[in-house]
Amino acid sequence: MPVELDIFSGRENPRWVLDPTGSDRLRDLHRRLRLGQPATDEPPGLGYRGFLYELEGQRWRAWKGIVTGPGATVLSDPASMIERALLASLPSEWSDLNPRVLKAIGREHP
Amino acid sequence: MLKVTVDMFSGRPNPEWIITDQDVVEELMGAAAEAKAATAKPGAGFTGLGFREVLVSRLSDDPLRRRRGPREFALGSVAAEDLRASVDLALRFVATMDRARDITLVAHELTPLTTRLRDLILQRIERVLLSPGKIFPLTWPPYNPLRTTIPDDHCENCEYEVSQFNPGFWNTSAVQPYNNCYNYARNWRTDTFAQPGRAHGAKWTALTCPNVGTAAMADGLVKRCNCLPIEEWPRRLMALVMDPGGDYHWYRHQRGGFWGHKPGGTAARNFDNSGNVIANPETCDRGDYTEFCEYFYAGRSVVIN
Repeated sequence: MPVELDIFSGRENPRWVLDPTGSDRLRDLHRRLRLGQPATDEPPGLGYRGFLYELEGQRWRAWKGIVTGPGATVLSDPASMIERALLASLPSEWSDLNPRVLKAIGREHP
Repeated sequence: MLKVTVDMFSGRPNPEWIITDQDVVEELMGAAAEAKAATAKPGAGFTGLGFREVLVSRLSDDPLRRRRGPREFALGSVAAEDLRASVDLALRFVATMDRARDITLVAHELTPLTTRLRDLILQRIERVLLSPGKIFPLTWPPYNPLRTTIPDDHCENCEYEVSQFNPGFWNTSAVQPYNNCYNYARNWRTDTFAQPGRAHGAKWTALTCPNVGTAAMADGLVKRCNCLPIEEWPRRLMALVMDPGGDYHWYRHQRGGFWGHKPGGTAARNFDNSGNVIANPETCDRGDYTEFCEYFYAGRSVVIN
């Protein structure tokens, strides 16, 4: 399953493919999400703007505990589990981005 | 700057090239503007297998010096009011192919701009006259002449152009994801997520101000206060900032005293990370792009990819 970390402006964003285990884990986490309220702020122009992934042909963005998708669907992920799972799958060549994402979503689980 | 695409193939990429010579652009766009009956809405003519149309597309929203014209139009199209004039004008555009081989596009790998290809195109276009089709009515978008030449207060005797903030040109599904800050600041939609230096085999190799700045200069940018002559019209003022070791970002000075930018594949905008209109790229909220590098001018000879 292809995923993307939306963070850069000039360079291409990091994109990679989840292995079957990672894909199953993401599907499972996504399935557990509940409907939520829209975020009070938008992702910034410059900096961490979330993870993008596609499930059953629908594109989702997970950003700071809010997962948005088609038709303005908003799902709540208060512990940012999806972002943490995707961050853990980030290829090592992008490991220097870890602190930035953690800074945005919080280092510890709430 | 114009992109010419001959819509004629099905499997391989269509022949396409870029006209950078501003005199040629002015001449051809003038001819197109004077012969409205020769131009047609793209895609409004024949859509089957074989030659369909010559698509002409402007690669920036800078207005032309003398004549107005649409951003995109088709020639050699059976949807044109005057098919013969449309074919004649299409042949003039195709004649520029021989002089446009210096800019390599992705399509050229499978569809190189050879003499044989040019002859094939000419032959197919002329054949259109034998089977004219249905005529469609034409509509034209409004002309936006809002562009101003201003003196650069930081330098002696330097001038550059500022254009109307026009995010609508960039914020469409066909454009936004494929163009980044460098495309926006240079005002050239390449649809390739352009990288400084790449068009000239000198792409950046380190995410530092000097390295990315040098790569951009390989594309033709010059440092601020190295005044560009009027022949480089339209000349833009760009600002380079750096997220050291992480990424780079560009801004473009706009008409009205503020700055526009396009963070990666997101929408073009004129506000910073705090939501404030950008009056100064050196002091605006840039998130992790903490290092302000410097300013550059970009004239029309700057080619990016």
